[in-house]
Amino acid sequence: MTKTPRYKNPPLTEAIFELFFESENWTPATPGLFYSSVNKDYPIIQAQNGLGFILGMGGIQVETGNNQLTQYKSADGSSIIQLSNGLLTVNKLPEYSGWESYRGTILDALTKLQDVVKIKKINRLGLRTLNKIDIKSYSFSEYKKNYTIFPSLPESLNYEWNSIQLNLEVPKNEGNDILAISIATILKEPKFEAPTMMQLYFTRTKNADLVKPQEWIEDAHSNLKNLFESSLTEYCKANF
Amino acid sequence: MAETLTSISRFNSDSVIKEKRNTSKVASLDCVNYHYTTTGALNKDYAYSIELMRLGVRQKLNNQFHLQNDLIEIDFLVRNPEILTVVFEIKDAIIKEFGASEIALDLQSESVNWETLFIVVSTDAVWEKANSFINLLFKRLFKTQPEVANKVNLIIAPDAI
Repeated sequence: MTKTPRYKNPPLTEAIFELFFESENWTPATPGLFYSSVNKDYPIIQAQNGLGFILGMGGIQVETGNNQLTQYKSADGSSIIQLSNGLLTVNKLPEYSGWESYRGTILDALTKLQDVVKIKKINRLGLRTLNKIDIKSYSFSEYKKNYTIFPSLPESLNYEWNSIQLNLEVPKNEGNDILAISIATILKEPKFEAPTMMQLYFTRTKNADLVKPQEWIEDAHSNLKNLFESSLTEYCKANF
Repeated sequence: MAETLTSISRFNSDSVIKEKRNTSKVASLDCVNYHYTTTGALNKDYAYSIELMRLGVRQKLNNQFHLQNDLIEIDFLVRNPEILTVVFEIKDAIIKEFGASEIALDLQSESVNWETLFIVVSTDAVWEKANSFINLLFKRLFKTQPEVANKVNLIIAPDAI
């Protein structure tokens, strides 16, 4: 098990575990049965019409989704399980109390899912973290002070670029997994002068049925942790 | 349309697999990929990140409204995405009727099942004109989208500027 560095003010705004599955016995009553087993820790139950976001030439457009999720929320709203026929997510919003605790939450949710649903096949697994990092000013020079990953620009394009979006990905574990990072400047919001969103994602897209989720998430976390530590400068991390 | 890998933002290999059946844009099934699609049908993947849903609503609002409590209004719009469209329609109608106005969103909530998003407008309009506008707007809204009309309210503060 990898030891997680502890930061006083980590930039993590959400951690998400995703399980895409096929079941043999899903019925409309399944979300209610699941609630019966999780309601002690997740007393709030809500239907969530999925939102879809299209990021195109005209910017982000929001449209209603078609995947009806049932949300189960902890009393303080910081831990959320979402369930639909074919998808389970375990979301953790601040305050994040560390990987060990989150891993326990994930495994507990998986156990309770298997109590009510017979999983025929796992199609995909994913572990994602979203980190909001304030670079204080929308400028390429400030961006480079905080991130170790940035484009190399020729001298002739030596402008003070102020909007950045980067996406990188690499196959891992003989191509069964994918490690991805996305960094983008986002709109200013309360408490942030120039926020950026760094998404780290590890997903098993092939042979997902062959792994044990409890072992896979350790590897996923280890990959995400290394990516996090390597993508940010010491200058940036000094603010956490 | 020219599309590049940098104009995108989505993480889902399933999406790529589905998309490959329809287009040759995707280079490899081994990539998570981030293709902007004209249909957007595969972008539902964002639907299960709370933070990305908030970000999407925030980007859509684009600082055009003052949010009384910020996350409270954002989360309400995440739960009720159909209201986003209506909020912009009302804003456009307000600007057309009264000119530039300051518009705030203020969620009043007694419970999750009893929430109302107040759209609070500060204008220099006279009371009679404001009242007539509200009546007409909600008459139309109740006729076309009654489920939304029950979740929003409009307050026009005349002579406020």
